[in-house]
Amino acid sequence: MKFIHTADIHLDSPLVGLAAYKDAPVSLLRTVTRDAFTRLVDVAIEEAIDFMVIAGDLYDGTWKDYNTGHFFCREMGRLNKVGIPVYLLFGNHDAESEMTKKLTLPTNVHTFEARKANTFTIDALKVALHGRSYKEAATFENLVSGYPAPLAGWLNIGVLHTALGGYTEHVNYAPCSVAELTAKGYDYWALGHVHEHAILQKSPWVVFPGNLQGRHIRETGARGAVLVTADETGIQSVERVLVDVLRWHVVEVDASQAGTLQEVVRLAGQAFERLLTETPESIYLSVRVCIKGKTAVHGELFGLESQLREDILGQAAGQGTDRLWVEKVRLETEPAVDAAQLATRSDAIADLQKFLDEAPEDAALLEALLQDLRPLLDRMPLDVVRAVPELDAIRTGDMAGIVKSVTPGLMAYLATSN
Amino acid sequence: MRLTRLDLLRYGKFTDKTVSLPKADQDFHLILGPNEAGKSTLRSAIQDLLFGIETRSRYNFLHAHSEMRLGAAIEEGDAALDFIRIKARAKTLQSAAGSPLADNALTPFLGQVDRVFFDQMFGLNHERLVQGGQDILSASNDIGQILFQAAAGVGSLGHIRDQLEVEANLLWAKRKSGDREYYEAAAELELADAALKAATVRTKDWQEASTRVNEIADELEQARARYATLEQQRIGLERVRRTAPLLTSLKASEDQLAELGKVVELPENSAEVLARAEQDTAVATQSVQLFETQRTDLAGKINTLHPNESVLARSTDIEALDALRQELRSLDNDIAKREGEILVLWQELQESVGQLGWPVEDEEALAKRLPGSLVKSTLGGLIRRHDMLLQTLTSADEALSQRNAEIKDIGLQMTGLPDSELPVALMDALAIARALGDVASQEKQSETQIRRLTRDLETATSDLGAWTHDADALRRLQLPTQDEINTLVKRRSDLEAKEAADQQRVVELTSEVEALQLEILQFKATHQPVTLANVKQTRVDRDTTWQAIKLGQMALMEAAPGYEQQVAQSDLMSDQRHDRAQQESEFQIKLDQLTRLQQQVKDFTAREQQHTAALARFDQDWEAQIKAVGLPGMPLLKLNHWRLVREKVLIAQATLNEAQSAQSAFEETTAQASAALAQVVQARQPQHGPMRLSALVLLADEWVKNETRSQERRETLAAQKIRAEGALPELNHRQTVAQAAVTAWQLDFKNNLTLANLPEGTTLEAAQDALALFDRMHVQLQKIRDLRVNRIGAMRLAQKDFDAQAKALALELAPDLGQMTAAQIALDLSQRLKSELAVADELQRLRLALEQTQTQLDAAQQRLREANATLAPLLNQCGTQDKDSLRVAIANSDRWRVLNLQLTEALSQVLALGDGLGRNALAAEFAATDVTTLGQRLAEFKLEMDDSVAQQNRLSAELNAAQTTLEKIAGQADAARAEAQRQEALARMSNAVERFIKVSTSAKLLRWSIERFRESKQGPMLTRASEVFAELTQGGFCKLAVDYESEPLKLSGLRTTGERVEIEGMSEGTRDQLYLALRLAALELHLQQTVALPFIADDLFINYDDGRARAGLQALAHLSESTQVIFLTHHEHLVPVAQSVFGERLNVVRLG
Repeated sequence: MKFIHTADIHLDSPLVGLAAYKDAPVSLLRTVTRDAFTRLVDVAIEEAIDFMVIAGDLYDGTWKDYNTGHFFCREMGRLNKVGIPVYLLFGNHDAESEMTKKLTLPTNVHTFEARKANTFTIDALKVALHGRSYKEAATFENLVSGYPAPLAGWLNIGVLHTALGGYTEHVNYAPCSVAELTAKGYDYWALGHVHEHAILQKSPWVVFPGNLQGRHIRETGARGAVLVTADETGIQSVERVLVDVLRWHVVEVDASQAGTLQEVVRLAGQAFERLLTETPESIYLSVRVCIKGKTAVHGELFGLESQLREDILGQAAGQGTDRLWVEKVRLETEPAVDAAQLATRSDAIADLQKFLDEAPEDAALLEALLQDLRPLLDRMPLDVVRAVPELDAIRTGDMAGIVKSVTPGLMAYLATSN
Repeated sequence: MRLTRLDLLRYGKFTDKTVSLPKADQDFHLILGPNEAGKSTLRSAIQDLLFGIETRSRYNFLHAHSEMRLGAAIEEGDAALDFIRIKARAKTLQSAAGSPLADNALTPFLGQVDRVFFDQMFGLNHERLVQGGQDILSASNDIGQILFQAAAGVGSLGHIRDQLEVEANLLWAKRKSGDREYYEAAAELELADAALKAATVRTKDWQEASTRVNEIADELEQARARYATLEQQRIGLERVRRTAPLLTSLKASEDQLAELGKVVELPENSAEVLARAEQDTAVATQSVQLFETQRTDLAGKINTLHPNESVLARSTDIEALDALRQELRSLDNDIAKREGEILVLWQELQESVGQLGWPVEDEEALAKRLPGSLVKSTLGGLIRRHDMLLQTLTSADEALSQRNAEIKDIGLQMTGLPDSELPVALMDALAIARALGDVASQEKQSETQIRRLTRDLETATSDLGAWTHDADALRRLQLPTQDEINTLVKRRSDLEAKEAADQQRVVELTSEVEALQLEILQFKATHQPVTLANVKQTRVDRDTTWQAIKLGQMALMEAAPGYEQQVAQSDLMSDQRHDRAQQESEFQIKLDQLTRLQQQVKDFTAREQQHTAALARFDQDWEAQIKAVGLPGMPLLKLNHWRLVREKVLIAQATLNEAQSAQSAFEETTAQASAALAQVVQARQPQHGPMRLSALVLLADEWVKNETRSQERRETLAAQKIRAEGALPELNHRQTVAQAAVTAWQLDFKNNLTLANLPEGTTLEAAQDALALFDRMHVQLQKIRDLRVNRIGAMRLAQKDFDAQAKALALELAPDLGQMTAAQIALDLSQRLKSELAVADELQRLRLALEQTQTQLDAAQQRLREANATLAPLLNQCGTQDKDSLRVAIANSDRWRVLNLQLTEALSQVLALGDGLGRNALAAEFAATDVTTLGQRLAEFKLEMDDSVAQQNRLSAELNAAQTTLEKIAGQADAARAEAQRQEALARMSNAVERFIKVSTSAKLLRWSIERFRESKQGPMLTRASEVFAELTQGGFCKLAVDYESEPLKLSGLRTTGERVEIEGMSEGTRDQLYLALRLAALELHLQQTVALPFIADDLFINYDDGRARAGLQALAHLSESTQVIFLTHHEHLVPVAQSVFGERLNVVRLG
């Protein structure tokens, strides 16, 4: 007997942070959450699984388009045709979504009630599934306590959408502990809500399958669901089923040995090549390039950051595939010559360094900078304000922070741009 | 740190080259080398030495990377290090003995300085100097930037700042613009927002669409039901309208059938059968009579005809014979024609025999005499080979004689060549003369140079003015040192300045005194001030008069008016004084002031006189001093200039002397070479008198050239002769072989003529013609034989065969024709056959017609019988043999059948139109309906139903639209895609904003900190730079000044005349000097704070004249007191200039 346990599908949730640019494989990536879900249904049909469990957050809570629900029904219809039932639990996002209440689901989809925990049984397999959907997003009560006792001699599966109390990335909904889950006496806990894949315990099994498709740079690496195999003696194995269409990666480029911008670009190109070789061809890649190291080229990179980005995009395009998308190029290099060393030069650059060190304390300068930058803040959409931390600094008037962050790069740029 | 020694061990073009840099008070070293001599190599070597040899060093063209090494001795204070730098990945420092040193072994000498910084701060070349000058211009309104760039040694800072500002502006600005990255992305966001709005379907939208579909479907269902009911009612009425006439007609038919009573039912076609039988009987009877008459006529005609059967039996042979007759009709003519042809051919043959000179013979003998094909072909082959053999023989003969002539000619040419050799002395003398080059132009150059140098000397000497001396005297002159002169000049300027200041002061004060006096006069005139003295005086006058009156010295009456007037005057004055106390006080102040000023004028005049006296004394002293030196009347201020001129004169004199001695040496060498060459030339050609060296060289060259040419010619001819003689035996052999072949051919030809029955002397052409004739005769004989046998013989045989056939056939069929010719027999028989055939044909036709008539008669009789038989069954059925009774019975039967049919049809129509209802039901429905109002009721129904149809159509359309709307919500991803596009645009905007904050802040910080730098460094740097600048411009400018009135602040130079020159107004050269002044000032300030490193100046003054170069070197001299200065140049002329600045002991290193 086999079943798939998935959660946190967030259908039609967009990829965040990918700026469109020439030659980027834009159109291929705009429906990745759907594509990943379709792949999962394909796997379910190919593997001829017995049923599927969805442990919450099918939709994005704020997403309004009803087509998403329709798409979900269509995919469920495919499972219905081959006789695979689906047990669906609504999580915090689903509770928030208007679609959840109105969508008429195909007959093979069974939804857990929100009012109290209920149980579905599959007599032929002797499987009992216990679960309780969220009535509203802000569900902070412990739901586990209301779950029924296990059916003796049956395979008991608990379906629950929970933060389990320990994940700072996620809101602490439906808190509970692994000990509590263990105490319930079920064979398998199919959890949702936490986006990272985790097998927290094997007896009984407590599993987060992770989300189906990473949507931003904080969700790096392979994503998917789990395929669970069981027989009359209990759960036999839990394997990951990777169905993600686009994979996020942070590529670190060590520029400490590089002497020119072009060398840094070449290093990035080599890193891309390695990554492409290591990743299956069916998967797109979205990459954040972090350039690190104490390097002589720090100043040049700072001054020519736009050119650097262009050249790195060129490297990505130059790999000859449409698979690679550069999300961002982050400069995290440090100057080869630090401020203390600069000071020993006792020349004009050293003097400048001294002034710049004092700049964060110069109220008049900070005020002038603030006056220059405040109009920027006034005109930005909220989404941009959220994405750019410096805008928040401008809002709170923390110009000193901005000055401090800019100074080392500027100094290195001056010192090396003769 | 300073370098004491630099070892270029394996580096660039150098191998084990040592450059010594000994320490001196002025640590200045001039490295001289022409271009390509390795100056830039040296500069790079110093950097590689101190900071490691670069990974991809380009100085590996002689020594491979692995072998490259440098060495040096360096010192810093008391510490010293002798070390070697090798090229390797690590451990690149070694001691002089070769043991490894720590990587940081140089840190105590270099501090934290890295390669880039060292190059920026301690390296300066002409290119950077010029660039620095240009950068100053571009930053002319930003002193901070100018100072910073010079102090840091970096390139244009403005460029970096501008670049940042430009980038910021391309990212974001308050003003919306499509060019800016942010707004470009924002436009994308707007589009995506709109797309998202258009594509999003909310749950509520779907619900509405779904409900709408259901409602319309229900409404449509109701409309359809109503329509069905109406339709049912309408159908009932329509049925009554359809069936009513039929029901009426059915009733009528039933009544008529009843009237007819009992009837024998005969077949339907009975009437038709009766009529046809009667008609057939009549027709058949008529036919029988006609055919019987025809039969009798035909039999009569047949009996009259009898054709000749035997002629008919041989019809084929008769026709064949006639055909043969026609064929052979022209045979006799043909035979005569062929025999004529044979005669013509024979005559032609006889002509040929005549040509050949053969006897006249018969046909057979002639055939035997003609030669056979073997003889003909042999003879033909011989004729064809003849030309080729002759050609070969001729060419062999020609080649042989040509080569013999050639050998003879070479022998003659060799005999004609002169035979001599070149003397060794000529070659030696010529080599020496050639080594001197172009003597004439060198002499000319040398003279021009001496003239130019003499002119230079004269010009320089004339600049000495009245104080001209000869060269030795000039050199011996003991002039005061420059410092002494400077001190004296300063003292004199001070004195002059003081005198001038005092003079100025006196003038000013005098003018002030005059102004004040004028003012006092004017004040008096205006205010008529009353002084205390005036009042007192008036009172004394009054009292005196009163005293005189009292004493009786004056009569009262006489004096009274005067006294009263005096009293009044005194009172008036007193009052006025009281009233004008203020003005009086002012007046008094002015008077006091006047007195003070006058005193000051006096004082300053005295001081001025003192200063004038001091100046005069100073000038007298100077005059005495300079007279003692030997330059009476030399003004102090001119001495420095005069001294420079003197140096120029001395240098010019030395250069001239050098050039003159070089010229004499050259002349001497030329004379020697000329004499040696003349001796050899004249020994050969004594007729030549004394000649110039160039003419001698020309003569000698000609001689050598001629001799060389003869020798070469002789060698060429000898080689040609050997080649020609070597070919002779082969040519002889070829000629012999060709001759033998010709002889053999002649014998063969003769033999074959005999065989061909041709006379012995037959020529080649005649033989060729005879061969052609033989061929023709052979053909003609062949033709004669062919005509005789094949053509004429065959024709005679055919004629004979035809005669025999004709006779045989005549004997059998018509013996009467026995005496006729075969042709007549054939013609007659053919005509007889034609007439017999005509009789036979007619007989055949009549027999066939008889047979046909008999058949037709039989058929007519049969039809008569059949017609009677068809009526038999009907008569039996009616029980009668009478055709009239039968006719009545048939009419009754037919009537009964029609009525029955009508009845059945009416009933079936009623049932067919009755929508399945039975007759009774229909009759009942008919009876119950008022038929008169039927039309009106149906019209009402139609209207009602049309309404219903329109309603249904409308609802269907609505349903369709609603369903389309609902179906559009099919799970498509348009909204998801639009949202993705929104996120892409937002990310792009975020990136732009992030970068904007960075670059815009950087640009502002840069501007701010540069301003701070200016504020803190401006004073000391400009002070020192002013001094250097004045020095570099040789007094053209006296200082640098900042215009504090302008905004932004501006830097400018002050000329000694007081004129202010802004940077834009300076020449490029002056700006270079300004940059150099600032660099040197910055470097000096820098060296006050940190460890000193060698300053490397690479060809700095390449475009400077000596004066400016000297000024530049003087500026460097100052620097060389605080750090080592290594000056690289390829200008030799800078050596004396540098020596004039640094003294004769200056360290000059020559590379290459």
